[in-house]
Amino acid sequence: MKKLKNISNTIVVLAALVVLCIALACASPYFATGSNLINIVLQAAINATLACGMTFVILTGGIDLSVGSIVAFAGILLGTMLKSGMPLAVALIGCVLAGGVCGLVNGLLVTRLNLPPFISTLGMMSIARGAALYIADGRAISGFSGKLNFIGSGTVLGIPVMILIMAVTFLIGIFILKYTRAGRYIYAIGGNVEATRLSGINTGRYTMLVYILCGLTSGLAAVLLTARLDSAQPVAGEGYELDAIAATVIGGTSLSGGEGRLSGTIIGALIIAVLNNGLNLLNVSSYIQQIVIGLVIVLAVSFDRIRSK
Amino acid sequence: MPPLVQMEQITVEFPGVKALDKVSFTLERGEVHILLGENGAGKSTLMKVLSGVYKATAGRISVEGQEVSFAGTKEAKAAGINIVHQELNLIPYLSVAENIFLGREPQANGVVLWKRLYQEAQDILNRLGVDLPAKAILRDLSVAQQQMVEIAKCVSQNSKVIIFDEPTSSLTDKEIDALFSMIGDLKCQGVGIVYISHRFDEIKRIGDRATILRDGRYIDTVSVADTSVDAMIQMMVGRELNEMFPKVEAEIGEVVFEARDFCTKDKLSHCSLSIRRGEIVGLAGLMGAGRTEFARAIVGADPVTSGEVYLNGERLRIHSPQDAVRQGIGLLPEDRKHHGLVLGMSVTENITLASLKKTMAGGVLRPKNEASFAQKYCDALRIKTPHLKQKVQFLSGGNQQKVVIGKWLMTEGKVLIFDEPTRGIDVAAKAEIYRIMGELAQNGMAILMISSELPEVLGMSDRIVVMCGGTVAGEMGRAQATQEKIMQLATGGA
Amino acid sequence: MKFAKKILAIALVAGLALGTLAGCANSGGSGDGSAAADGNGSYKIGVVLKSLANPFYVTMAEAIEAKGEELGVEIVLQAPEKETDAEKQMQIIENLITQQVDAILLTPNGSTEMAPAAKKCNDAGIPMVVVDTRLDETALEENGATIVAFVGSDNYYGGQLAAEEMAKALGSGKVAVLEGIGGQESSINRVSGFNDKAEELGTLEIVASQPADWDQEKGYTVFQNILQANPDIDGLFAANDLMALGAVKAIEDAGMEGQITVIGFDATDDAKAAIQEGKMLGSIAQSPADMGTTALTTALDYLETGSCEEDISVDVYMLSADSEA
Repeated sequence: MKKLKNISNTIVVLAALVVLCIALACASPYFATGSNLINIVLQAAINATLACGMTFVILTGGIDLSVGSIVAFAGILLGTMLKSGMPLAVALIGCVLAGGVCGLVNGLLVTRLNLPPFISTLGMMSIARGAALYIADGRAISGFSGKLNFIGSGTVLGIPVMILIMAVTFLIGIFILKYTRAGRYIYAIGGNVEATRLSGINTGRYTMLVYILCGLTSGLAAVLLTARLDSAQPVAGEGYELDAIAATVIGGTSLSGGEGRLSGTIIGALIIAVLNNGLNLLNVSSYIQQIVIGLVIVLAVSFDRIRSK
Repeated sequence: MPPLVQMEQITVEFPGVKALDKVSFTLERGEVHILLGENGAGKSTLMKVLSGVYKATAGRISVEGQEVSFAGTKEAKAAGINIVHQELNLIPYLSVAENIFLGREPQANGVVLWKRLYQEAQDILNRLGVDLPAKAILRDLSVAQQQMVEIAKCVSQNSKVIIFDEPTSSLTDKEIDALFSMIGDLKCQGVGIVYISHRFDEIKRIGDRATILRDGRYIDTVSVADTSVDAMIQMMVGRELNEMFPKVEAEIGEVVFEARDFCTKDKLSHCSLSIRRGEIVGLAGLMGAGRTEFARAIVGADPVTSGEVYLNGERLRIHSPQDAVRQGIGLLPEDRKHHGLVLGMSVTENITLASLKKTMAGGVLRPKNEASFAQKYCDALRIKTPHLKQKVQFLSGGNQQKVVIGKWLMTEGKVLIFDEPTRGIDVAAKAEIYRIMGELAQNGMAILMISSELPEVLGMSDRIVVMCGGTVAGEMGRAQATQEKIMQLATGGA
Repeated sequence: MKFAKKILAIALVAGLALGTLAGCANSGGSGDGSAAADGNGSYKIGVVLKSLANPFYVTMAEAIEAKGEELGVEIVLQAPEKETDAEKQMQIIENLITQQVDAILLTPNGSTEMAPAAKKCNDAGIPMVVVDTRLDETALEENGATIVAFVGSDNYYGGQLAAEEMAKALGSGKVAVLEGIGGQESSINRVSGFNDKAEELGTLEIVASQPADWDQEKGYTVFQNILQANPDIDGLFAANDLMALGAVKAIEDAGMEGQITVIGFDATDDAKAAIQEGKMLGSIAQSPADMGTTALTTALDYLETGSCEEDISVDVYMLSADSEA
C-alpha cells in the first residue's frame, strides 16, 4: 500500500485506460481498428472540452452545473447568428464569448453575492436552458449551408478538426495551470482559500476566472456540437455537466479542490468514451452502460481514497 | 478499592514525534485532578488517549481495576468517560435538548418522545443551575452558554469521569462560579474530574491534586493545597526564562508602523498601537480580548467601521489583504493549518505563494527560480524537509511555521504580525522561532507578536500592549512588565 | 518519473491519433464492401431508436426483434437514455458503422441533427431507413446525404383526426394542446394537423398550447398550470399518450373528472386502459409494431434488390372505448 502512494493519479488512470483498451480489443474484433479509435477520440472531444473547463472550477473547490445548458444556449446563438448571415468567424467567436459571459455571471454570483457554486450554477443551468428554448422557440436551428462542415467533419493532415480543437484547448489549459500565476493561485484557492487570501492574493478575481474559463470551454463545446450535428438544438447538452464532472473525477481531480491534473481529465474523458464505445460494440444495452460508468466513477474515487489513507 | 482510572507508562508516537513518553496518571473517585503543562506538553494527548480518540503506542489503562483498550470514543463513553472539548462539538441548528441527548433520544417504538426529551433536558439544566430553556436553538446562544450545554451533555451521560479541557476560557465569572459549584456536586457523587487549565487562581480554588507534564514526559504529581504556584510553574517550565528566550538586542528606531482607532461592528472599539523599527511589540490579553480580530482588521482581512494604518508616517489604503501585502504588511495567522498554509502544496509553492512575481521571467513561472528562492529560505530558516517538493502537511508544526515565515520573508515586507507564533510547536522549534524573530528585529523589521503565553510575551517583547474586552487596556515597557501587571490589565482589574 | 508519465500520456494520444490516420485510409476502401451480405444471406441490421424509456419504442423494438428472428436477420439494437439526445445517437451510429452492419434503421432524435449521421452512413455505404420521424430535406441536402426510405405514420392526418373527434364529442368548446419536444417533426405535424383542422371546423377554440416534452411528469405539471389559468377548459389534445396520462392525473387531482375530454396519441397500453375506464375519450393509434416491421422489410428489400419504396405511410386511426369493444 505504501508503494502505491508514490504513483501519481494520472499514471493510475492511464493504466486503467490501457487495460480497458486491451480488454475491449480482445472482446470485440471491431474495437482496435483505426476508424474505431478515431471514433472514440471524436466521441470524447465534446465531453473532454467541457471537462477541461470543469477541471479548473473543481480545482478551486467549486462546481459548475450549468455547462450543459450553456452549450445549448451558445449553440442556439451560433445558429441564429449564422442564419442571420453573420460571417462565420464572427459567429464562432460570438458563440465562445457567449459561453464566457454565462461563466462571468456564474463567477459574479459566486464571488460577489457569495452564493454557493452549486446554487448559482444551478440557477444558470435553468436560465441558460430557458434562454436557449426561448430564442429558438423550442425548435432546432439548421441550414448552415455547409459552413460548419470543416469543423464538424473536416480533417487536417488526416486528424479530425474536432480533435485538434480539443487538443489545443487542453494544451492552453495545461499551460495556464503550470506556467502562470493564475494557475498556481487556482490550486492554492482550492487547497486553502483563506491562506491564499491572507497571502495577498485576490481570490475573488481568480475564482471568477475559473468560471469564465469554464464558460468559454462550454461555448467552444457548443461550436463542436453544433458543427457535429450541423444544427443547434435548444435541448442539447442535457446531462453534459455530469459527464464532465465524471471525466474530471475519474481523472483524479479531488472534488474538494486543490488537487488534480488536466492530463488526468483527458484520460478520464477517454475512459468514458471507450466504455461507451466498447459496450456499444459488444451490443450491451445503454442502460447497462450507465451502470458501468457509475461503477467506474465509484471505483476511481474509492481507489483514490484508499491510496491517500 | 482500585483507583477509578489508572494509566501506566502511556506512550504515544506520531510520525516523527513522541507526543507522550511513558506517562502515568491516576484518578480517584470524587477528586478534581489538575493536568498542568505548557502548550504541547501532552495534556490534551493524554486525555485523548483516555477518551478513546487516540490509541496509545504502549502502556496500560484500567478503569475501576479493569484493564481496558478503547477502539474509539464510543467505547470510552460506554465506560463512562466523557470529555468537554475546547472546540465545541455541538450541532448549531438543533435545540439545546436535542444536543444534550443527541444519539440517545428517549424513544418508544422508534418514535422520539419529545415531551420527555425536553423535560429531562430541562431537569439537567436546572440541576446545573444553568438558566437556559431546553428548546432554545444552539446557534442563538453565546459561546459560554454553548459550553454549559456541552457540560450538561456530559453530565447527562452518567459519567464516571469527566474531562474538562480549559472549560473557562470563554466563561464569565458568574458562569465560572456556576461551573465550579456543579463540579463540586459531581465530586460529591463520586465522579472523577480531570481539569486542564492554565489559570492558577482556578487551580487553587478547585484542585485536589495536580499532575505536571513537560515535553510529553511525566514530571510529578503533587497536592495542590501544599504546593506553591511558583513551584508548580517551575516544574512546568523546567528551565530559567532567559534560557528559553534568547532576546537579541536590536537597535530600536523611529515609529514605522501605526494603527489608529480601529473599530469593528461587534468586537473592536478604538484600538490603536504603534511599532518602532527593530521593535517587537507583544500583544497580550485573555482569549476573546480581540487581539486576533485587531490583527486581521489591520491587514484588511475583515471589514472595519473605522481604522487607519500609517507606514513611515504615510497613510495606507488597505481594503483587503492584497493591499496590505503589497505595501509590506504581513500576517502570520494563529491557525497555521487553516489560515497560514496550503497544506496540499509543496514547501516551495507555499514559500513563493505571496511573491510569485519575483520568480517569473518572460511572463511565465520558472520552476527553477522558484526552487532556488525556496532553497534560500529553507537554508536561512533551517527548515527541515526531505525535499522542496514535500507537501507541507507532512512537516512538523515548527517547520510548518518556518515555511509561513519564509513566505513572508520573501515578500520583503516591513511589518510582520505573528499571531500565536509558537502554538503547538515543540520546545526546540520554539526557541528557533524566537531566534528568527529576534534576528528579523535586528534587521529592522517591525514585529507585532500576539501571544497567550505570558512567559513568551515577557521574554520576547520590547514593549507590551494589553487588550481587554475589544480595546487596548494599556501598555508597558519591557523593564516594567510583570505577569501580575499584565494580568491585571487583561482582566480589566484596576 | 514525472517525465515518463507525460511521455506515456502523449504516446497514448499519439497512438489514438495515428490509429485514426490508418482508419481514414481504410474506410475509403472498404466502403461499399460492407453493404454486401456476409456469406449465406444473413444480414446484420443496426436499429437506433429514440430511447427505450417510451413504451412506444419498446413495442417497436420488440416487433423488429421478433421479425428479425423470423427472417433469420441479426438485429443490433441501441438507444440513448433520453429522446433529446441527438449526439448520443450520432455516437451509436458511428459505432454501428464500425461494426459493419448492412443497414441502419433510425428513429431520429431531431430531424435536422441526424443529417450528418446519414451522411456518415452514405460514406460507409450503409443504407439508412428512417422511421417515425422524418429527416429534414434541406438538412439532408446540405450535408449531401440521402436515405433510402422513410416509414412513418401520417402524423398530420392523425392530428386532423383528433380535432374531428374532439369536435364530434364536444360540439364546441375551449381546448388545450400539449406539445412534444419543440422542433421535432412528429410534434409539429400532430399539433399543426390538430390546429389546422380546428380552425377549419371553427368550433374549437384553442386557449393554450404548451410543450410537455413527451413526458408524463411534465404533462402532469404543465396541464396543472394550464388548468390554473383556464379552469373552464372542455378538451385536451396531447401529442402523445404519456403527456395525456399525466394530464388525466392532473384532472383527477383537481377533482374535475369527466369535465374534460382528453384525446392522446399513440394508443399505448396504459392509454387503452384509461380509455376503457372513461378517463380518456380516445387516442390516435399508430402501430409502432407495423412501423418497425415495415421498416425492416423495406431495408431488406433494398439490400436484396437495390431499390425499395421511398415513402411508406403506416395507417393511423382513432382508438376509443367503442372501437375497443
